[in-house]
Amino acid sequence: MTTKLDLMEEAISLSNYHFDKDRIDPRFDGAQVLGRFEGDWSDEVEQMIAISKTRSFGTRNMIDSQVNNDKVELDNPTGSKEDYQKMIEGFRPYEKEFFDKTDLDYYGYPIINKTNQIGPKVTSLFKAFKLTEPSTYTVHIQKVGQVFPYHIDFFHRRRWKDAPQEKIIRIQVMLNDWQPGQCLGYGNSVYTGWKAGEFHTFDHVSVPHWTSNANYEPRVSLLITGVKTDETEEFLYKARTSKTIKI
Amino acid sequence: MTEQTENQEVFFQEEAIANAKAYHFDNDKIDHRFDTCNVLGKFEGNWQSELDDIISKAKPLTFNSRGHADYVDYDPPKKHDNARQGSHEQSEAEFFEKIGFGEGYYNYDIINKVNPVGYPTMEKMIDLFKFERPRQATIHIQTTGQCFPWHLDIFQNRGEFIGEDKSKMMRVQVMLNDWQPGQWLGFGNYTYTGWKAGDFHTFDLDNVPHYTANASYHPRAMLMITGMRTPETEAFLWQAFSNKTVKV
Repeated sequence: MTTKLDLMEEAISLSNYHFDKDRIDPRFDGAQVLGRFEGDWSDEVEQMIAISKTRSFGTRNMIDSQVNNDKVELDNPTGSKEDYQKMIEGFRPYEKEFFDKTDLDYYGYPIINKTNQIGPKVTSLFKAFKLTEPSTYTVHIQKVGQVFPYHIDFFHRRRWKDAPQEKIIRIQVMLNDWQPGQCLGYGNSVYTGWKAGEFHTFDHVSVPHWTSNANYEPRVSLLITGVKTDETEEFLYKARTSKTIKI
Repeated sequence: MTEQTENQEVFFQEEAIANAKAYHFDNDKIDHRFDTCNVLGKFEGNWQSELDDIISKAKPLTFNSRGHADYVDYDPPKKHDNARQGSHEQSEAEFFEKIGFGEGYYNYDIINKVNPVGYPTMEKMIDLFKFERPRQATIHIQTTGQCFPWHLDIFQNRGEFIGEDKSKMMRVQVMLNDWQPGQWLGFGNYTYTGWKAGDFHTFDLDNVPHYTANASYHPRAMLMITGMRTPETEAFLWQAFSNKTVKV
């Protein structure tokens, strides 16, 4: 007899992570820092903080906070707006079933603020990676008291399932300096102390991750997902071998 | 409260920051006296049944109600309940309003708390530190999504601790269950994770800003004991430091 797996059990069953709290595997336990942009986009950060909308786990994928590249409006590389909406509505009960077993209110607890309204400077950060379609971005603004709980990504198994999996990359560009109390967790390691412009990736298939902000300053990051090209590889080599990438 | 002009930054922790004379407040610096978790030892035993009961009885508190006396054991008993932060409520509320978290001050649960009295193993742990009065003890249970924001302690400069010898004052935190990914304690610029049940630590009361959050799906449980160190305390800490564990 097959028992239906819950949200977390399914993600764990498909992950290559060790799930041993006493172990550090450097492939997974930590942010994989790729490089650093140099520039001043603080004016756009202020604007994004002001217009961002609060999201719970249940509403985190609302399409007005997450967009595709210039050609496609939705974070739905392989289908129509209607299909995407249907997909979200379809998996919400499955997610809620899991969260109902925890202390977290799936629809009520604010985990993050989001916006997709980015200015020209932040747009140039996104474009620097030379990703091909499908590609998408969203800006995460985590305010004091917000906690995005432990999870493993599953976007690649849903709306990105037809994209070339080996070329999908998720990059997070930190848009303001770290403040004590802000934390990103990857596996058994925490990432703190970043400077504005630093960007990193992680194995989105396998690595459990989470964030929280116990500081009074909002933490702002640009979350990019896309398909790598040869130009992406060239850019990442340049980022790795240069002190900074000027924007 | 001092008068503030419209453009002045008001920070409810101003008094605490002024007391933190030795801390650097530099995000790029690590001072190993402060930006660390000073682990002192480890208790060994089985308090799981007590812990299950504690977790089931813990009551959620907000930043505003965090000082509620019902969830703390005071020796000597507290003369007044500081549930709403007394005369400090207004300045705290104003600060949270200013950072866009106004309602959160009153309705966002940062922690759950329980009074440890009546739990034999908890009481034994408290007694082992041999603190002199004034002494207080409480249990923190942090559930998924709760976040206790950055702050410096101020209690040591107020109330029953006024006039006490600061060099003897100590706060100890005993982790009551194993760390789970997603849980963390912050001390200055340092993040403490990976603890095991029974590990206990301290930090400098005046000089270490600290904070916690729980992004895991397991409650984080911690016994917090504050008091005045005695020669017996020093003997116990030496025992804890020089042995693998202290059995309870």
